[in-house]
Amino acid sequence: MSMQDNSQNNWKILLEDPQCFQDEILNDKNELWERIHHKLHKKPQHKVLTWYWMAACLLIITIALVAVFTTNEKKDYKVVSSPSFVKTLKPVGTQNSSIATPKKSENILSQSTPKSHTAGSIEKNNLPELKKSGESKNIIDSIISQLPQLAITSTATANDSSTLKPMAIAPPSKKKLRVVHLNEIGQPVEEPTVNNRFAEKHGIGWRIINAEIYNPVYGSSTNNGLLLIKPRTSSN
Amino acid sequence: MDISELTREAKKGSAAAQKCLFDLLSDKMMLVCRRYVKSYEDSEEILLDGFYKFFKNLSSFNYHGEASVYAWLKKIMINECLMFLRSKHSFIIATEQQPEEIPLPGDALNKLSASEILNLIIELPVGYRTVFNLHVIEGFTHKEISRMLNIAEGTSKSQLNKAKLLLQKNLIKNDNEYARQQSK
Repeated sequence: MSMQDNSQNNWKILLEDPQCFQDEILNDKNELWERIHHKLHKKPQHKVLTWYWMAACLLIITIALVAVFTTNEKKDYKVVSSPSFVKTLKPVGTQNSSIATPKKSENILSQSTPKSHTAGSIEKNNLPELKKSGESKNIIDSIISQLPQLAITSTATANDSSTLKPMAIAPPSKKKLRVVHLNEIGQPVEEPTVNNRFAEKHGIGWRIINAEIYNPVYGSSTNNGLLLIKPRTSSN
Repeated sequence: MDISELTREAKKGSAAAQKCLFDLLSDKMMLVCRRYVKSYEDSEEILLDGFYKFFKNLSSFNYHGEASVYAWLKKIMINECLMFLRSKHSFIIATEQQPEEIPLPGDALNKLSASEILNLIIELPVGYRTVFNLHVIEGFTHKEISRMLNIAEGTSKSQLNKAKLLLQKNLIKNDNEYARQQSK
């Protein structure tokens, strides 16, 4: 039995003997050894460090994005229906053409101002007519005298008629005068851009490069359903 | 220097001793890899990985004679081969009915040369070849093989029997070809 086993195991012994396999013997052991040696003495790669840097970069990007979107502070958009403005009068001698149509401006005032005026507001009948440009000083004086509560800032004295300087008159806060926009006096209406349309749809105020876009105020008399686009340099 | 001294020096980190060990054992280990993996290039890669692991873990190895070094290295190589085969092939084979055990054609194999036997084994399908190598040549039991390959014990047995059947067929084919060549 053991003889049979031995004879049966002969082929197994042959399989373990490298001298029986000339074809299977390694040809270039030195090259293989070099590869093993290189692998054994290779410096370990800092995989953890790489991940650390990647995580740090991601964190910075996330923080930057959050900062950009969260610090987009809300702008104090001017509401068109209730403007606050400072009226500046320039010297009459240089502004003949602008004050040449007093009746028109009077009409505009009468149209826009509500009928329930407070005490001390300008009565339209009391406004003097401007016939000559030389009478402008007296007109201003009369307006000032009739509006005691108005805040008047003037660099020119009333007596100094020869050198009239620009004077800023702040109207009463309750008085609502209609603001005449560029659009209303014939300026071409700008085509709403994609952002404007978006703002119109969602009622959000946007700022695009140099222009401010205002969402429509529903319920106001001046609301015509259009977005108002004003350049930043605009005084209104 | 004998293997015990080389192992001691290699443990200390001597590159020269490591190279001597590699030169001494690489051919034998290459044969082990060739039995499991058909491709020569893949066998070489497995050999490199096996020796790399051997040298890397040599510090934890307890020397118990020359045979222990050889056995440990062989075990590493077999594990590497199985890992490679697992990554390339699936050993999940449906359990089949346990067939009757087929005797190994030992006498017929003894008539063949070493390279012919190796070729016969290499030509077997992966599953048959792996189970045949593990059971017949390495001497693992079916229970151990089932654990190693994560297959059922019955599957291991059926794979072995199929491997033997195929070997017999191939041997008969070889005999016929040999007889035909002789007759010519």
